[in-house]
Amino acid sequence: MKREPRSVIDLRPLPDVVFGPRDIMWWGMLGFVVIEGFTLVLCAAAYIYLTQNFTTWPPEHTPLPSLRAPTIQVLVMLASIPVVWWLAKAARRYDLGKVRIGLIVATLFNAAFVGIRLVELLVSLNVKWDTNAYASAQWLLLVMHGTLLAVELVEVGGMMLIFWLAPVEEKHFSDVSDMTFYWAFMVLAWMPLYVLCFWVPRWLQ
Amino acid sequence: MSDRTTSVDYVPTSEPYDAELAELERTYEPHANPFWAWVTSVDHKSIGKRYIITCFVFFILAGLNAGVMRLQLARPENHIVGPDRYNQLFTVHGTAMMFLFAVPVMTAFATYLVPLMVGTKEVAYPRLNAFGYWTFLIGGVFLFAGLYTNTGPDAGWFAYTPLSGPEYSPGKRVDIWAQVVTFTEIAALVAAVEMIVTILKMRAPGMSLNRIPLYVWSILVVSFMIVFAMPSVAIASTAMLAMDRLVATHFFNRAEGGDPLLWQHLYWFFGHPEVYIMFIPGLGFVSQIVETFTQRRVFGYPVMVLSLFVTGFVAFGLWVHHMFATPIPQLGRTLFTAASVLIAVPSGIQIFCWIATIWAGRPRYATPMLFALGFIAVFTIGGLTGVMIASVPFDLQVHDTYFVVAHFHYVILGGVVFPLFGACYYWFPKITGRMLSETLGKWHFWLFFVGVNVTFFPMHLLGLDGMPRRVYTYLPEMGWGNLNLIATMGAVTIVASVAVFLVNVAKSSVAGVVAGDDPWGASGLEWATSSPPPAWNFHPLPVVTSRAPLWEEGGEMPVATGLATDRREVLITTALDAVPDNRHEHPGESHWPLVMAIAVGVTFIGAVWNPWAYVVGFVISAVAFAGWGWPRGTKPEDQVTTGRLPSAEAR
Repeated sequence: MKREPRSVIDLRPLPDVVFGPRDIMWWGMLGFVVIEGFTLVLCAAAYIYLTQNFTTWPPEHTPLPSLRAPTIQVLVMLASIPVVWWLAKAARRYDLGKVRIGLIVATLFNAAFVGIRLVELLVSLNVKWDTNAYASAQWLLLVMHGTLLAVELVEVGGMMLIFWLAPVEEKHFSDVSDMTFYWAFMVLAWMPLYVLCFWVPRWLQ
Repeated sequence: MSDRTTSVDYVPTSEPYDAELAELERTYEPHANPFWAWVTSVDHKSIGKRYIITCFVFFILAGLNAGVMRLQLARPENHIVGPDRYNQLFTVHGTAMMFLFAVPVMTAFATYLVPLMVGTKEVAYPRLNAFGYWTFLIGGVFLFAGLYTNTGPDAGWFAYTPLSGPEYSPGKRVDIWAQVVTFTEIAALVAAVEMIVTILKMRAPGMSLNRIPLYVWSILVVSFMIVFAMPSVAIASTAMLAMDRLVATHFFNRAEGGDPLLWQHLYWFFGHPEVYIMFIPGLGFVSQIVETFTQRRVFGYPVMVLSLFVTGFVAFGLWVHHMFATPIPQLGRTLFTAASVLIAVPSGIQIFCWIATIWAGRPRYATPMLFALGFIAVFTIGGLTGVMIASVPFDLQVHDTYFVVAHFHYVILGGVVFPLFGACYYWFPKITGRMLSETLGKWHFWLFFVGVNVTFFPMHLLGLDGMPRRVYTYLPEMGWGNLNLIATMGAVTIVASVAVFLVNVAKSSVAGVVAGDDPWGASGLEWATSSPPPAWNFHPLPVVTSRAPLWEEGGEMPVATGLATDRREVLITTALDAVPDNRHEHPGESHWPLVMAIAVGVTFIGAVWNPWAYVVGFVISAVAFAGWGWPRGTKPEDQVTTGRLPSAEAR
């Protein structure tokens, strides 16, 4: 028998903009962080698997990667962390002025990451992808992570344009906060891969 | 929840309630042009329906491939198709059945059912959901376009290197396969995130973890599995195999230090969990059906949930049993044998729980229940042969023979297709508002049950007799003719059963008995709304006080009120106890998911021929991304115009 409905909860007092794990957009971001993070783990596993096929890594007659640009990349990435932390704080306070400035700085940082990544690929690796399996593995890690950098540049740049040119809504501040969470993942995920790509070949010589 | 619990006078037939419904009608009103409404829809039910239909179209096309193969093998030295065409037929059959049917059809049903079963208005990210569907559609069409233009992939559904590499598979056939896989992986991953967040954060108030329907648990487990399994094949196919073929990387080229076995590891790290990704939702279907048709809560709910989780975990520890015929260390073989036997335990526990439920209940043998019972019989046989081939010495004898073909068809048809057909009969009334014919349903079931066994049981014997899989013909002296002929007769029976099903669907959609909200007397929330449900699913939202909310006796139905009706607002609850936490506004109709999917399509289809397609595709995708995210129709009350909001600190 159908029962008559009776309201026992009034949802009107609940907030309609929240931050962090209370926000479902944050959960979506977490989902993609896990997927992309695990993809990088599998790439690293494939990289390590391929080292077994060589007596030295890189193989004979294949030059070592150079360290200058990759190390600058790491330093620039680490330098960006306090900036995006400041941006996240401004977003949580709905501070429109600071968020606008923070997004410009973040976009510039992200553009620098992408630019340096191109230098890493074209100059620092010292090998083309089709040289041997070592070269292919190096390119795999740099390009896979580089894709994250490029996609994030579109996101941060787009967010910056919205905050400067479009009608800004309260929920956009929560989006900025989520974006800084992704940023932390993107930067921190690179640290072990930097060691794998640029230092491990020195140790396996 | 108690601190927010208030008693509000609420009369569902009152004038204010009618005004709210009228406003919801306006808020969810689709585009006036029906075609444009279809293109821009983000309603999970609309997307779910088209997803289900698309998957069944691919099922039929892939089934026709199988039909041609069975005709070819019906007698020795047959010449209906030649070896080259045959290679394309079985590769596309396997690829389509796995990537375009068995996994996505489960996603499709989940897209339709999960929001209804957890008592919410939408999936977590409606536009992303639509994007996933369009991406899937483009990938599927691409695969069959390849087959029908004689460019069908031909290196098997697992595309082993070096056979699939540039040296042994020149041309573009394998490239199409690699990119089709990419499309389906994107769709599957998007749907998985969608489902995880919908289930964890959008359940009706009061639906704590211990009250989640078993089907929804199965989708949660599978979604987590997809998150960890799919990236493996995505990088193997898109980033490695396609690149080896397109720009001469050497991931799998032994001559330059690459490794063909790396492909097998990456592929089966995905491929074995994939089997469980396909049939765990089937287990969920069976739990729901058994509960309803015995009118008894499923026996051993906590054990059932734990079994799903154990299956999900152990599934990731089995992949090497596909590689027993490769040089794997002895310890590895032993470990993976043990894990392969171990995984039978949680599946067995579930089967005993269903038997206990049927034993203690009052079973009613309607068509969904017949398919659930058919599942138990067929799947158990497939499971038992699985335990047999988990043993290395036995596996080495039957590796790449028809015994393996018989085994996995029993598992997949038993574990996926039987529950799926049961689910079609069970939820068809909810989706269309009409019942499927029981008479045709019983014909469908018996023809299918007999057809499956007559087709695939003889293959065990053929395999034991040494008939290798993937041969386009055989000599009369081999003595395999009679069993193959029987198998072909079984395949014809399967075709007949599916035809009966299609007739039933077509007939019942227009002339079936009108179903009403809850035609089966079921317990779940999806039956608490009308059939078919309105665009907003529930108004007001249900509040859950037990595991079987519709079987609660007497009193009043507790509901939650106060969500806005002038915008598409959904309720977000806490992950563990489903306590109301915040309100979230969902986006409306949009064509941008389709535009984005087309951008992805241009990227990956273009990359079959030219690597610069990645660059061009990235630029187009960035434009689509901007179109998707750019704010439109901002309400004045939502706009932030200057500086710091006065209320910010209070938040």
